[in-house]
Amino acid sequence: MTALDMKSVGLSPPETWVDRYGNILFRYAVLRLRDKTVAEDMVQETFLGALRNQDAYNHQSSEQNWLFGILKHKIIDYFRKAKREQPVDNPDADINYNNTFFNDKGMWVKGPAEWKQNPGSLAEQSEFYRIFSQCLKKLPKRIADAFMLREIDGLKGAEICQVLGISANNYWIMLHRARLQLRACLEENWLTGGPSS
Amino acid sequence: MMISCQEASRLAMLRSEQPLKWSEKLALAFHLMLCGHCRRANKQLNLIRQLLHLKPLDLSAQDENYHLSLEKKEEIKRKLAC
Repeated sequence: MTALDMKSVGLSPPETWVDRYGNILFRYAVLRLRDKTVAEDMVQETFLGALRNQDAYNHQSSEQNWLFGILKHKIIDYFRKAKREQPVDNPDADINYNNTFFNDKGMWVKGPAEWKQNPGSLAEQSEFYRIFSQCLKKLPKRIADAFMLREIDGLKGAEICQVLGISANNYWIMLHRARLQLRACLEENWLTGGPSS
Repeated sequence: MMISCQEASRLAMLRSEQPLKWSEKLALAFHLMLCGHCRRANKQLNLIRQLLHLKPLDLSAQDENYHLSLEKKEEIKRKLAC
């Protein structure tokens, strides 16, 4: 591809963004924020931010991924600002989650099953994402927030503690609980349960 | 003495967050060597993490119950046109 071709593969006109990407960004924002009004505002801020920073688009990612990157930053900023209004978590209240998964000797109550489907295969991936998002919705919001900041946004633990206003110990407890619960939920609802044919 | 599955699961989580102490590393490696359940859980969690990293937008893309309202769409379009 020549430099001239590269230039022609620029951004589409901003007035077309809302119809093209509005719903997909909104759905993601609802998953992260669990509040449609806030999600709408985040999507609006994403588009307006993109409009102001069109020059920063470097052609290395697709237009959709570029907008998605802006939305991710807006959501993290939102968490940062909202933390002052959140009640302080009591990590002790959460410590009993272990009893769901481990007995009093610390052994698995129900050992992880072998997954029948191979989630790595492309054909099955859309099913993975659909069921996983249902599992995320079952997590308490703060725990889902911590998990997604880590695994989707790729923030480091120290940053997540700062964004959510929680201690490191509390963060580890939340992350551990999220991982145990999500793995079990996925297994229950997809990989061993339900029709597999 | 061998650590419990619960402790192995906690250390496996902690390993992705910060370097473990030598004693913790050894205890985890020894446990995983002997415990098929924990090896399996670990492998499954790593796969989940990889897939999430790959296409996070796909988590919600199929959630067709949610649409940006027409009013909001128009409002944003107006603002984009300014």
